[in-house]
Amino acid sequence: MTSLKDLNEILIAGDFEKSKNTTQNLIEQGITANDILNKGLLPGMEIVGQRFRADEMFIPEVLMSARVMDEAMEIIKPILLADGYAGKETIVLGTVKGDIHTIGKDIVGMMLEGAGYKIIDVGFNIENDKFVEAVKKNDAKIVGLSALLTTTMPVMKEIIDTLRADSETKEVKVIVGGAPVTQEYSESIGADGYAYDAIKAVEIVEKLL
Amino acid sequence: MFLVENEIKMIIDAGIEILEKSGAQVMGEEALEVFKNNNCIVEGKQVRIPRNIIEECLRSTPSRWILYDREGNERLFMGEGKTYYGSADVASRFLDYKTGKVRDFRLNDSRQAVKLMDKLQNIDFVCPFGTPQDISQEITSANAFEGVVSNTTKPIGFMTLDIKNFKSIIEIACAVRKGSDSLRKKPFIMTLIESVSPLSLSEEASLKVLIMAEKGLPFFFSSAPSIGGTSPVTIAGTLAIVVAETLLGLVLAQLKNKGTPLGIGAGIGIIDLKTGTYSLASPETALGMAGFIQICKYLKIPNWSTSVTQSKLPDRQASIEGMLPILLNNMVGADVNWDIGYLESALYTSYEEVVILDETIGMVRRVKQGIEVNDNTIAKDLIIEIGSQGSYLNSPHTFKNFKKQLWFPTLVERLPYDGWVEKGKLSMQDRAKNKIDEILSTDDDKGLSSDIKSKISKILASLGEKKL
Repeated sequence: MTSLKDLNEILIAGDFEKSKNTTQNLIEQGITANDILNKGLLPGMEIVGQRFRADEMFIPEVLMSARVMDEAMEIIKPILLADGYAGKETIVLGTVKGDIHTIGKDIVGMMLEGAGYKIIDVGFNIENDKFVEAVKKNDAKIVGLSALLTTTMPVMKEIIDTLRADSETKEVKVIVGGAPVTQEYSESIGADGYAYDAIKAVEIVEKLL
Repeated sequence: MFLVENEIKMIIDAGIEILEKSGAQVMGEEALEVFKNNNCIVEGKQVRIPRNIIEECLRSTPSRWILYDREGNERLFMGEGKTYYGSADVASRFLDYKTGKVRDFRLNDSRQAVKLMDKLQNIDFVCPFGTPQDISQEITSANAFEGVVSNTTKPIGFMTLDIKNFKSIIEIACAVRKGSDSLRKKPFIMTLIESVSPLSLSEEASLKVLIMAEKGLPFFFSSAPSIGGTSPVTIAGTLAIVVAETLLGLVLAQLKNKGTPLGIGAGIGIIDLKTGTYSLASPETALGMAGFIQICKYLKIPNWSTSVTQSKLPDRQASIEGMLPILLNNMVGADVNWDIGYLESALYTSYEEVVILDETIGMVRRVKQGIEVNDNTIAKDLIIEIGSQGSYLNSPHTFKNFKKQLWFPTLVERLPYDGWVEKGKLSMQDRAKNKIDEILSTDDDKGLSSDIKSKISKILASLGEKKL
């Protein structure tokens, strides 16, 4: 008989193909969605997090574990939402206008999703107002801006100013990143946070929320 | 050395198949038109290139071309695997060797860098070393270029942030050469244009390819994937993407102007899977680049390579990370090795780094020179003559041969401990700083004639106001 411990182990091993069946099995046994989340999935992610910080697990492994969680959540989320579960906040990510580099933002998105946040990725070479639109439409609490080119960095300030000027979006927190961006620069443009890598990004998001 | 022929063929075939069956994303309208008008399949921004067109364009690409110096002398023979070294170019920051701090790159840093590289023996072509931040960004690249062309006669490599400056730089080069035809016949400038992995070409990059092709001026087109991030975590998979992307650039140039002199290359990076950060240095990136050089040689296309460390200082990490690709690229016979002098994966430049690597290149060049074997070098008769417990130091054979046989360090310290103490216990980095001071204190007018200078001033003036 499948147990919560099995789900735990599947998650740590990153065996995403088994995730849905295992979760379904547990539901059919009468185990609550809440228990599946809090006793099966989250403790597993906690261990993954510990091992990752101890350099025993690497990003691809963390992402596979996150995928196990995603697949399981697809089954239990509707049940949880009906019970008033709020889920974690929504974050809008994008690469600013004039820039087509996406890998940094993609890695940050994957790690944030792994940490349970909902990510709305607006893509690359994105017009400033599309960021604002996405924030409003999705009730996002954080916007993450990425730029790899020094020529596109100034656009970040424009977006921050636009968000602050709009009463609907002025409370949204903005974090910035990208190879040429520095702590100093992010402060000078009024960003709420700067992350030098994806791990830091998750830390900063958790601090800001 | 790293790939055998059938492996090279497999990778090339995969790259061509990717370009043919799936294609790449091209952002420029003009480029899309060129592809469309030449029997490529264009759907929206997605371009697929039939194999026969790729093969035709490979055939029309010159297997050799020459880069001249400012005075019109033949200097760099591309396609012959002689591995020429050029400096870093577009970082916006700089490690100030006097203060040890990283700060904004300034116009004067560029001027001084050019002076330095003009004198360094193993730097064959000179780039501005950074993008000056203390002048308006709308005109900075062209102004930096002016500093290069006015202070060295060595061939020049350039990159720009935008098309306007790109065009102005070409105009300046034409003024120096006294005509665009003369520039085309004896080019002394070349540029580097990059795709974005996976399988994308930005509008700006596509325009640069078209401009250089139209003018028949030489450039290198390089693919810069990050292993595990924007290309497969396997080196062979990464190389397949490099083949697809570089052939995209090559085909665009050849379709625009058949016979455009160019080269292709790989500036491979890696995603550190512990932190998700990007690095241009790792054994895999060095290996991958060397493999791609072999692929280019098989295709008979001139090739480009790079060597950049992820170290934040010109320290031991910088040396070992820098040395690996410099050595491998040289051993497999790269045509150019760009980017000497960068730190932190090309985020800032450092005089110490370029000086230390200049020394490193000297060592590697000696290795490439190889072991000369003949009766004179085996010197059997001499060995028999000197016999047991003799010395070769004062032999005429040593006197006759030593200059050609040995490499002479200028930074590497060979004195015994006490001698080193006497000289001040200097580290490699200290010695590099002294060498920098020494070179920068010299004055050497590589000046252009006053009429060319005034033409250049006019071109820069029409580009825009200098002050921030």
